[in-house]
Amino acid sequence: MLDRIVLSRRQNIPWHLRSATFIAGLALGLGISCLILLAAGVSFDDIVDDLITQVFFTADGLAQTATQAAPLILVGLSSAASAKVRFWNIGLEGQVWWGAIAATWIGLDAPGWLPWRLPLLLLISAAAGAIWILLPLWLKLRYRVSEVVLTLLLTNVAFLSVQYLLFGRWKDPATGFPVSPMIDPAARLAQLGWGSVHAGLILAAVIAVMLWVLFDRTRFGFYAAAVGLNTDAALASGLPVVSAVTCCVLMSGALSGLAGGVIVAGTEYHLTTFIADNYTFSGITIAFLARFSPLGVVAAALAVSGMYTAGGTLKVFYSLSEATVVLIEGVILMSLLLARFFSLYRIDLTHWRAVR
Amino acid sequence: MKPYVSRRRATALGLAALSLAVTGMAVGSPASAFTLKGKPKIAFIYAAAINDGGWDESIDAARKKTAAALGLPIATSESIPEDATALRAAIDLYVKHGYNIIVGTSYGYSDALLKAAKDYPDVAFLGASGTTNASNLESFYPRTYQGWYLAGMAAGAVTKTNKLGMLGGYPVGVVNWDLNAFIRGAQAINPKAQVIGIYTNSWWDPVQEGKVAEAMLDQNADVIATDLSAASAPNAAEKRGAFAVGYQIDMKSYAPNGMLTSVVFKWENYLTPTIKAIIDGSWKPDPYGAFVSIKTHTVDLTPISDKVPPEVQAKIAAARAQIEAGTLTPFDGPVLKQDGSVAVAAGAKMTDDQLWSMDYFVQGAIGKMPAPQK
Repeated sequence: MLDRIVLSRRQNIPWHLRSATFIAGLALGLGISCLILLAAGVSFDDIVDDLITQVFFTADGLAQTATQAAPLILVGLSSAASAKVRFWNIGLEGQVWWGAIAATWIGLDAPGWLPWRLPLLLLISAAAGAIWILLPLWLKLRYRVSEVVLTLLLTNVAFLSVQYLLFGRWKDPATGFPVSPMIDPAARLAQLGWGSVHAGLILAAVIAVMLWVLFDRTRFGFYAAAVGLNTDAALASGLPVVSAVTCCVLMSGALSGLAGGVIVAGTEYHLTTFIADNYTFSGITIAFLARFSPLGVVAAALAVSGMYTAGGTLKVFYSLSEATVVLIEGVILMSLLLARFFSLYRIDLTHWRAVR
Repeated sequence: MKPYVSRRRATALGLAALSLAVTGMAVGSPASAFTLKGKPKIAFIYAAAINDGGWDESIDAARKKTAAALGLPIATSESIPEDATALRAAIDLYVKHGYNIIVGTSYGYSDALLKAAKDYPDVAFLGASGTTNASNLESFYPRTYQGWYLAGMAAGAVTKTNKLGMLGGYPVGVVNWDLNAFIRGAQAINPKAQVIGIYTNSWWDPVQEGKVAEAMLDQNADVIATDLSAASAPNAAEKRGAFAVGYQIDMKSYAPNGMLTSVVFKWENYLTPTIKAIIDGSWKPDPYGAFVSIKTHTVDLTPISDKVPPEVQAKIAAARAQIEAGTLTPFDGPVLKQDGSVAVAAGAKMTDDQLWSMDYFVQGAIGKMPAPQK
C-alpha cells in the first residue's frame, strides 16, 4: 500500500538523466499530439507517412528547422544570460528589432571596404541590442525599477521606431509600402548549400559553446551563478554583483540584437514589420526548457524550431486551424516541462511503516 | 507560434494586407500564355487566421465561391508567417504534393512569391495585394478609390455640419487614395464638405478606432467612414445618431440606421475568371499586376441607404457608369494638395504611378498627413 510520496530536489543532475527526461518528454508530447490529430480526423497512416517523414526525415524539413534555429538559439541564449542573474528580460523582441534596424542600416548605407561590411553589420546589430537594454539595466541597478515592465514596454517603442523608419526614410518609393530596400549582397551571410541554411547557424553554435565555457568554466560564471542564486548573499560575501549583473544583461541585449542582425543578413535581406514577431515568447520558452544552460539552449532551440516546422506542415497538409496547431505546440512544451520536473526531483514512493 | 505574447500585433499585421497592393514595378516580358501541366490543384495561403473578421475572411468567402464555380476543392493553410522561410516551406510542400495554382494573400508574401515563381516555372502564382509579377505570377488589387469616391458622394449629400470623419491605418498609397477619393467624392456633391482624416497607426485596434470616431463626432462630424476592418467606428457613429460608411465586408449590422453603404471586396470576381483562364491555358499575367476597376465588381458598394436623396443616388449611379466607362476618374485634374500646390494640372489625369506614390492630402482635408516621404 502506498502511503506517501517523498520529493527531494537533486543536487546534481547527471547529463544522461537530463537527456533521457528531455527525450521522454518529447515522446510523451508527440504521443498526445498524435491523439489530438487522430481526433481532428487525420489518419494514422498520414501522420506517419507525411508528417513525421516530412519533418524529421527529409532534407527540406530538416533544413527549415536548422534555418529557423539560428536566431532562436541566439534569443534563447539572450534570455538565459539575463535569467542567470535573475534579470527578467521580457523585451527580447525590442532588442531584436533594434538589431534588425542596425543591420539594415549597415546593409544599405555603410560606405567603405565591402569585406568589412558583414562583420560590421553583426557587430553593430549586437551593439544596438545592448544599447536598447541599457536604460532598464541602469534604472534597475540605480532605483530598483522593475525590469519586467520596462523591457516589455520598450519593445513597443522599438516597434514604433521600426514603423517610423519603414513609413518614412526606408519606405518603398514606388508603392509606399513599409518594406525597406534589399541590403547589399556583400552584407549577407553565406549560404551553406543546404536549403536556406546560412552561416548564422554556425555563428550561433560557436557563441553557445563560448557561453558554456564562460558560465561553467570561469570565475565570472561562478559569480553570475552566485548572484542568481541569492543576490543579497552574494553582495554580503563581497562578490562584484553590479559588474556581474551588468555584464550578463548587456550580453543578453547584444545576443538578441545579433539575432535581429542574423535574421536580416541570413534569411530576409530587408526590414519589414513582421520579422521579429514572436521571438520573446520563443526565447523565454527555449531558455526555460534548457534551464539556462547554453548548450541546452541549442538542443531546445532545435526542438522548438522543429515544432514550428511541424506546425507549418500540419497547416499545409491537413488545413488544420492555427488554434489546433497552437494546442499541439502547447502540449509538447508542457510535456517537456513536466519531464524536467522528474529530472529536478527524486521521487521516492515509500510505505508509511517503513518511514515510521 | 503567434499567440501569448503578441497575438494582437500578429493579427493586426496579418490584416495589414488590408490596404496593400500591387505595383507597377514588375519586370517580366509580355509573356505567351501560361500552360498548366497536369490537373489543376489549387491552394490558398493566409497570413492570419481565416476567421479574422476582415481581410482574410473576405478572401476566404471568395475562395468558397470560386471553388463552387470551378467545381474544384481548394486547400487552405492559415497563419503562415510573413517571413521568407515559413512561406517558402509551405509553398514547397504544396508543390511537392502536386499543387500547381497557389494564391498568397498578403503583400508581405511578395518577394517570397517571386522567388518561388522563378524556381517553379510550371506553377501559377497569384498574390493578393502583392507587389511582384512574373510570367507565372500576377499580383492583384482592385481600384478601391473608385468605390470610396462614390461613397464620398453619398456622405457629402447627407451631412448637415459639412464635416465628415474618416479613419485610415497607415499613410501608404492604398490608404491615402481612399481618403482623398472620399474627400473628392463628398465635394463633388457638396463643395463645402470637409473631412477630418486620422491615421490610427495600426491595422486593427477596435477600441482605439471607436475612441477616434468619438473624437471626430465631438468635433461635429456627422458621417464617420472607416478604411479599417473593425466595425467599432461605424458603431460609435450609430450610437450618437450619426451616419457611417463601412469597408471590406458589409458592416450594416453594426450601424443599421446610419450606415450609408459599405465599400466591399468581392474577390471572386477576379479569382474565378483568372483561375479559369489558368486552367484553360489562356492566362497571360499582366507584367504590371492586375489593378482592376470597379467595373469588375472586385471592389463594390453595398446598396445605398434610402437616407441618401434619390437625385443624389441617381448622380452616384451616373458617376459609377462614367468611371466604368473610363470617362471619369476620381482624380481628374485639377487636383490640389492640401497646401494648395498642384498634384494634377487641369485637364490632366493622374497616372497609376502617381496613385501608388500618393503621400499627401488633397484640399478639403482637416488634419495632417503623418510621415511624408523625405
